[in-house]
Amino acid sequence: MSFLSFSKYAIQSIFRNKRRTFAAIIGVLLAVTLVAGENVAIDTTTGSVFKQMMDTVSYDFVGRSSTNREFTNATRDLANVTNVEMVEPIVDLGMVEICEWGYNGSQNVTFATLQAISSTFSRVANKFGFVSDPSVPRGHIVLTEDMAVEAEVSPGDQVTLRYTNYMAPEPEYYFLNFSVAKVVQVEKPGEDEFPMFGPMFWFFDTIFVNLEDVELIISAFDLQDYFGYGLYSSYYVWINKDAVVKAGDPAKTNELLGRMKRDLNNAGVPYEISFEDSMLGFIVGFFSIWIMMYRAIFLALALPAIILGVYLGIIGAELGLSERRREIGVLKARGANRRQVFGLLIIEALILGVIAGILGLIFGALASNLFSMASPYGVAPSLLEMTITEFTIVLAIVLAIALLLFSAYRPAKRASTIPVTEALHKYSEEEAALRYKPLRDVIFIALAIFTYATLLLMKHFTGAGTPLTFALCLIAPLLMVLTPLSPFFLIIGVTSLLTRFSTKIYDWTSRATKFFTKDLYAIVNKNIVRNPKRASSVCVLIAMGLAFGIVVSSMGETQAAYIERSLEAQIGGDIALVALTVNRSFGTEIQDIGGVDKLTETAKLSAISGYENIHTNVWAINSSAYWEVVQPDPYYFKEGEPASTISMLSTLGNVIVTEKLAESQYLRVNDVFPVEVHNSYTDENGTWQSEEVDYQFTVVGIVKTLPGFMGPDIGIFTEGEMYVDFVTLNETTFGNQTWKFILNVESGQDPVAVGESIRVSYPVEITDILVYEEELEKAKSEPFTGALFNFLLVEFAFALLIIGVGLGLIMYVAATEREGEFASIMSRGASSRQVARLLLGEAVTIIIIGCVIGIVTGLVTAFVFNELLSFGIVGLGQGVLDMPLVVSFQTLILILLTIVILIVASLLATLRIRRMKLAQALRKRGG
Amino acid sequence: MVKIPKIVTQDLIRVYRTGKSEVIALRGLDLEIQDKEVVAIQGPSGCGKTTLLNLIGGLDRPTAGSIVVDGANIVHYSDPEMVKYRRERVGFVFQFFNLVPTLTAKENVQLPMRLAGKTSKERKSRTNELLDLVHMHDRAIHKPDELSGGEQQRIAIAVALANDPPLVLADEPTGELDTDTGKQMLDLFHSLNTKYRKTVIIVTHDQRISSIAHRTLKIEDGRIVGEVATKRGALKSTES
Ligand SMILES: Nc1ncnc2c1ncn2[C@@H]1O[C@H](COP(=O)(O)OP(=O)(O)OP(=O)(O)O)[C@@H](O)[C@H]1O
Ligand SMILES: [Mg+2]
Repeated sequence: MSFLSFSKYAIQSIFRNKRRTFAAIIGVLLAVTLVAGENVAIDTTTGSVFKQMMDTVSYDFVGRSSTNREFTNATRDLANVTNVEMVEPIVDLGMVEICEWGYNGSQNVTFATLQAISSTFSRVANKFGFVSDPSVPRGHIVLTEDMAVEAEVSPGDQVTLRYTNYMAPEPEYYFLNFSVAKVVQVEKPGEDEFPMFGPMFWFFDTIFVNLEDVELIISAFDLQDYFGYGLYSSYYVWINKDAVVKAGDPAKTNELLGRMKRDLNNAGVPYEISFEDSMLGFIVGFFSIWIMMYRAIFLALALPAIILGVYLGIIGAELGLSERRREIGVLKARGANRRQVFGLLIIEALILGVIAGILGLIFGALASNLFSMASPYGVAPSLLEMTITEFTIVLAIVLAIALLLFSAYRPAKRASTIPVTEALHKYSEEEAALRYKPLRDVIFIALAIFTYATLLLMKHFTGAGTPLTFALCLIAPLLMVLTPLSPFFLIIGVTSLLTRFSTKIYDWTSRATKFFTKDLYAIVNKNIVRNPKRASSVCVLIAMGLAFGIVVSSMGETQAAYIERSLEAQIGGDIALVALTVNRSFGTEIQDIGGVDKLTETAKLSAISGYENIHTNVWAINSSAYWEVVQPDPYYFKEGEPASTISMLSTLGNVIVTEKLAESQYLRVNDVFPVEVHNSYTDENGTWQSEEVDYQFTVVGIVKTLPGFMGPDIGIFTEGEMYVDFVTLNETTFGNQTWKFILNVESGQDPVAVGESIRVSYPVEITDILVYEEELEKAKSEPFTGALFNFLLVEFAFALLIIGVGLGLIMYVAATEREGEFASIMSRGASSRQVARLLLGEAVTIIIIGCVIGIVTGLVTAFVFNELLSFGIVGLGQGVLDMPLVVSFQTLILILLTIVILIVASLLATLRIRRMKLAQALRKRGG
Repeated sequence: MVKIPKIVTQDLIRVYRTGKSEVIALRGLDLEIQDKEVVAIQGPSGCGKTTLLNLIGGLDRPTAGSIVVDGANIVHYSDPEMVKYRRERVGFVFQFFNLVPTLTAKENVQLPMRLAGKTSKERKSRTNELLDLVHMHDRAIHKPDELSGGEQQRIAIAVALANDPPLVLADEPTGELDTDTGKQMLDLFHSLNTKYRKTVIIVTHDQRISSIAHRTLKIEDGRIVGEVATKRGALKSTES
């Protein structure tokens, strides 16, 4: 058979058996849809951000000449260059001074740059930040606002401009009179806009004159000889960006911009104008690096869905081939050789890959609105504004082909080597008991365990300077590769080993379905074992999907909990504020502000503590008020119980220390240690005072930190902290100094609003104010991590879809394949319900195995990854707070949801049994 | 004494509709079969034999007409009643055996009993009994595709008898077997009738059936076109 006839045969078989085609591509299709959708979303959302950014660029090109003065002709010729939309000349006439009418002295003069603009300048004024039109008539000047204020002139005034020629042997002065036409306002571009390039009129004091007055000014100031020395003309050029700038394609853009620059230089030759590179190229380049980065990150994050998709692809390919054994047998009987059969199957996979790629692109694009919330620039675009770049198209199709070839390769290889007689056989035991080689799975498990163990060890041993640290550095690159893969290794290895090495697992698990399969449970097991590989693949699929969900959900929850915990540790109550040089009683003023409930004041002092002269912070607190406002969670207490320990502070000499201080000073509860407390303040006379007092403190509790006191500097400049009551610091004077107040708002009050009214009441005194709810909101709405998390959620939805379809497909095929068998069971008196239960029993057995493995590996993986993450986030084990893995309600719901979806999928597949026509099904076996 | 017919069909019609075309498999078939009678059914291919057997066995429902078994019209049975009927009163033997490939011979025999919710003790003793009956005790733990065609069919007969149904239906049970094995099979059906007092309906082309069956019914084009009394039938009628 030639390639062409092969392809024809392949295409026919693809279109004739739609269900088989569906089974073969659905996994890859879903994975590609996810990737394509995310890329379309990134392109579309970044595309609109890119457009906005482009609009904030003041100009596209600038060319300069320091000799030529044919401004009008040059402007005209430049404007005639292809793709040029506007040209505006600005002539820089150097620095002048503005003098009041009739006053020639050197006092009270204001320097400014003198700039000539054309009468059409108003059309581009806003691009340079002008709020009002700066157009200036001949014989007049226009001033920037600051300038006018400084020089004390207003519209209608007559002013004299003085030019000083410092190039002359002795400074020479020249004067020229103008009347002030108007004052204009120029604004600095906003922070979120792309940095403005070009004349910074908002920054320099500037005087504008009409371009047509330039010759007059040159002769009046006698500038003609100096035009080459610092005086020059600039030609700002705006181009048709749509024709030249290709978002996401820096190479093409740079080429087109390069050509534009060449054309402009060409037109500028007679006027000795030379053009600089456009900033647009830089922006496009900068932007495409970001887009590439996002793409890379999201592609990496899509790995779980891609692996799931491939796995479903393999299942689909194998289902297809087991159906086609006869067909392959017939092909071989008719003379096809191995290579031809293999080639045929691979060509089919290739065609399917193209189909999956195109469909994935279409579905991805249609669903891109769903993904736009998972894009860092989360603006939901309308479908019409969708950007589908060549990159996305190529990525989708190449990915689809690669994944399909990957998933089809092994099954095709195997199918091509089946002996003809066996292939023609209806059903063969040999296939069922497919030779299982445990080596691969053992290696997988070993690699996963190695990786997990190393990651855990890393947390405990790095930083200690042990040889282990060195060894870890050596294998770091290996770990980078292994870490994301090891969950998959673990799941594939464990599941395959458990289910394929022995069939006992199926046996035990099928017993668990006894409650609804009744006496038939014995048969359930036998049926699964008939094709252990197929069942095993679905278990793997379920386990991977579920584990992925558990990892995402629990790590998300852990992150959220950690953020909440650190904010609590920083703020302590609803609001924390720091006020400078205020009295201790400032608190009562704050308390009078509407909505403020209880409040407690604290002061941060420094100290040298212990016998080793260690620098620490000492927080002076009012222990009973602190308890009432904060009521710290037992979480913070390593030694001692919150209420009693804090109340012990009111006894003279008692102190609570942080874990870190306890460690560095080898302190335990009841230990007494010396502390030299330093405080500085201003006294009633406003004189700066500082004092040092020696105390002996007794440790009554050890904490991670007390909530309200964790600051970013902890652990960097000081060796821990301690907390004592003002009672204990009886020899320290508190005056006007820095106080920190922790407060709660009255119930029913909005903390954000209360915070705002505190802020506006004391704008000078209060230097720092943190509102818990506000900070939490800020942390939650952080766009990049938000996008990542949303993407993972969308991805989990895809994973659910993949495993649901996977199980449903297998069950459906099982139901179809065994229709005759079921019919014969029914002819012996089974009700269709019994048969459906039998089938469901198989599904549930697979679900149970998959879920148990998924939950266990998911939790283990989440734990290891969380340790790794907390190692990074909490900062090389130096942090104050730990980040224990949180597995809560949300994760539980997710597990239940998965199980429900799987059961529904298998129920749907068994519906077929209910509709089966008995006599007809029996006939299929002949008779 | 007037014999009460065990199975009576009247005006039995079965029309297969596939898309636009219609095939009338049975066109008003009337039939009476006595209790504990062995009846052979013969006719050309496509005349409706399998269709008739499926209807009597409760595997399929007629388009029109009635099938009265032991006084009850099974056509009116609800689905659960039909399941019970198949489970307790009919044993089917197929041309292609229809054993469950994943189960051993013994487990196949036990399957109908499991379906009927028999205790494991009941199942065990009954299975042993049946395996003895079909002389398959020594192959009990083999799976169907480790057995010869004749052995498979013997197991299939044991399966059919599992719940001790009074009626055994066999659709070309010897079709896949060689002549000698076919003969053994027919002997087995004979003993079912003589020893265990089963009513047996056999569709077969095997001419040796005449020594076993009381009557042979000829079907053509969905109707009974004739009845041939066999040696045994003649013997029996003289007996009575
Ligand atoms: N599901 C069906 N759909 C359409 N026609 C059918 C169907 N089943 C059977 N028939 C037709 O009904 C007629 C009777 O079929 P049946 O199987 O009862 O014949 P038979 O006597 O058993 O034949 P054979 O000796 O070849 O087994 C045939 O013409 C057959 O083609
Ligand atoms: Mg037939």
